[in-house]
Amino acid sequence: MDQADVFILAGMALFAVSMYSLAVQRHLVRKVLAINIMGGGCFLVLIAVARRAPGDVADPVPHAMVLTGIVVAVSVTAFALILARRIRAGTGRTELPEDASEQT
Amino acid sequence: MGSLALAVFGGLAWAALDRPAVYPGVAEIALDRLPQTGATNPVTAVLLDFRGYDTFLEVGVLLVAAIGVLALAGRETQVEAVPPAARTLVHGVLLRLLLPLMVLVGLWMLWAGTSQPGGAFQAGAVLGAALILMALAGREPPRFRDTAPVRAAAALGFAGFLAAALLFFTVEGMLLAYPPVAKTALIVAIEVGICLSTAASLALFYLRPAGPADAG
Amino acid sequence: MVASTAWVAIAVAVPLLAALASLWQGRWTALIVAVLAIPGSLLANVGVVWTVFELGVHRHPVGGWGAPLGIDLHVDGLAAAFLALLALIAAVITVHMLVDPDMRALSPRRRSLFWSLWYLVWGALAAMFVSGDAFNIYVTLELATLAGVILVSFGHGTTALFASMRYLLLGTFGALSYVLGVALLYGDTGTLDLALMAERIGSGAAPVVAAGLVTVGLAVKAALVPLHVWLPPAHASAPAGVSAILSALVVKAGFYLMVRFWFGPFVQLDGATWTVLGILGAVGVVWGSLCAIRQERLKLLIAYSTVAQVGYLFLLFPLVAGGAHAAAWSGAHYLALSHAAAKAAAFLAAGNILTSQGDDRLSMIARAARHHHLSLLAFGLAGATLMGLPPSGGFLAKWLLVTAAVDTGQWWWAAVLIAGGILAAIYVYRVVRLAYVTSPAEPPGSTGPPRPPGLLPVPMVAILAALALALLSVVLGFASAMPLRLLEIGMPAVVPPEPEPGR
Repeated sequence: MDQADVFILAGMALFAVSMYSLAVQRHLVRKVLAINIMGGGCFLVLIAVARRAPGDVADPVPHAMVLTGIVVAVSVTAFALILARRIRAGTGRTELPEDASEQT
Repeated sequence: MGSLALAVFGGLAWAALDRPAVYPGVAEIALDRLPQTGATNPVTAVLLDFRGYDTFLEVGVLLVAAIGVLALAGRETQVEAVPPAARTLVHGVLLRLLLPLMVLVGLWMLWAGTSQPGGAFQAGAVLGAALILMALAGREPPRFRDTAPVRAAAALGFAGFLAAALLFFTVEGMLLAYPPVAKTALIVAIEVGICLSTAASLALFYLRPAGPADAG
Repeated sequence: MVASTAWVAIAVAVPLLAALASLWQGRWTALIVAVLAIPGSLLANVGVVWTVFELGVHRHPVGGWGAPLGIDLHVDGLAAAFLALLALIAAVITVHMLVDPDMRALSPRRRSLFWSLWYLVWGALAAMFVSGDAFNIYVTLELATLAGVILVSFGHGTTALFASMRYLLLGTFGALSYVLGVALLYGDTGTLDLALMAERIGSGAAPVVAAGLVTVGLAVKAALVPLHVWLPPAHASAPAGVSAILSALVVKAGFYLMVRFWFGPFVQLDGATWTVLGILGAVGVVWGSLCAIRQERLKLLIAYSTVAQVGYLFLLFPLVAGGAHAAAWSGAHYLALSHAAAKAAAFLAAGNILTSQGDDRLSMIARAARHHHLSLLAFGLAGATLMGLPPSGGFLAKWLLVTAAVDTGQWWWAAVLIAGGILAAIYVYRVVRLAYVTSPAEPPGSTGPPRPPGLLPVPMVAILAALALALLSVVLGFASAMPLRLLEIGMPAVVPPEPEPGR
């Protein structure tokens, strides 16, 4: 166990915890938060993998992957939040209907 | 569900501690070939040169989100600025000090990105934050509308990248193959485009432009 | 051979250029862009297919770096076939949307945003089909998913907003599961290039868990049961053209990538997984078909049919694990291609009916079935492929799969194929019978009863677009020699491990 291992385990824990949240939380904003934390977990794992490179310089490829991933996460989050607002403005609801195939 | 999450963590942890004896990544090759790129910072080199294609498509994702925000813009969406009565010293003096500083920091990060940590996205985030701060303080106003200049700003990064990808296509026969002579200049130009698009998109996400009456 | 490997780059770039041009709000922008993009894309795809026949499998190193440092586009017969079919189907759908009255109902401002997203989905799928790099695939997957999610939100009412949100949340979960798997694979192999990864992959815990994560992530995208719940509402509430591309190709992309991984880096992993994928596929066939049979609304019926049809594709894995190779490979991919054409046709036909009477409940369609006879004909032709009736492309594909199953003594998979065909016949018949059973008899030669009040006219071009795709799915049953030869170029020769006894 070295420093990188600790980070990688933390990233894995974040992934598992947010997967649980995504499933059990009902409020849309909480679901969006869960998605973000899940992404954070993935990024932590990538950074930790980069740290395993020998020498002083970390592997730049996982770093670039994280930057790309962050931009994607920001984009998805932005649209998800605006969609959630739109849903509340249109229906007054902040949760998805129980039944996936419910047609209103 | 809780036990499932625990089981998933167990599996992930099991995999996390499994690592090859020798680090297999491309760190060394990337550093060896760094001088052939237009950048001196290895992460920038990966982002804009070695794996520039990923970054190109990623700027596309940002553009998609900006388009989505414009498409969902309703009539009611207008950011609430702090009402004049509630404005304090913070909104006046501090903002006057902060804004030029943020612009300066943003531009520095953009410039420094080729040689040090930093770069177009980070710079764009700072500039976008400056725009949002302005709107919140009721400075200008950001009655951001879905107009041609707004669309152009959001699309600039993607368009610039695509132009760079195709510009030398006929000469080099490959996507994103920059000719050695103009490499640094091209990369800086792409970065400026990405930076502006990032700033514009982030401001769009937050300020949610009010659509014209046709929205719905 | 710089010149000929460049075709693939053009095939990816054309829709992306069209997406940018569409942002310009002009009266004729959509028409001009379509007139330029469709021939451009078709030409580039002819070039790609020609190059694959001439050169075989080839690569296009983006930026000139080459793997493992750079990103390579990887073009084999499978990629070329999907790419070409994408261009063909997307072109027809584009024509349909140009005349679709629903599209004209959008304000010009939102319509131009719609077109831009449409071409971005197209470009992202093209980029995904030819990508040889695991992380690049993630970016294209997210690009296609996010653009698709936004396009779903253009559908009618709040149902579309809920469907869009559900699709976004599950789709993002899938993408993140995938990317965590890729992170582990990079840690293990030090490369993101699929071909290099396949050479270097180890046998420890990381590859096994990574395979699980990647498979779960892609199964969400492919709507493999039980991760299919997002599909029916999204595909049923989206605008017609969007439903068509989502069901025809975006869902297939999940399966396509699954093939790339399981016949690439994961090929030597535990053989039992191959059977599990097949069982999930079989459950999908039965469950999706039964749900389709119960639906009252036409678009939901077609959407559940997609869940069933995707299930068939996953039979590829156990069939190959059981020793059938070439026939299963060709059969499964041919089914994917035929189904893509048929499903796009079915959704366009359903969209025409929905546009005309503002309601797609089967009971309502029955009242005016005579006015939809061409749309119902298109649905019926597409249904032939869904059922696997000769001489459709679906028949040929299922024939290959059944042959593969029987030749290798795996008759139970053949049973799934045949049972699925019977179930499909039931739900297709429920729709097609509407054209015959309910309309009152008319004197021969009459031009039909006057249009009942409340029915809107549908442009003939939109109806012909649906028919063209339906005919394409049938023609694939005759003109099969070239596509089958194409699919076999670069077919992976490796045979996966047998499941160990007692496992």
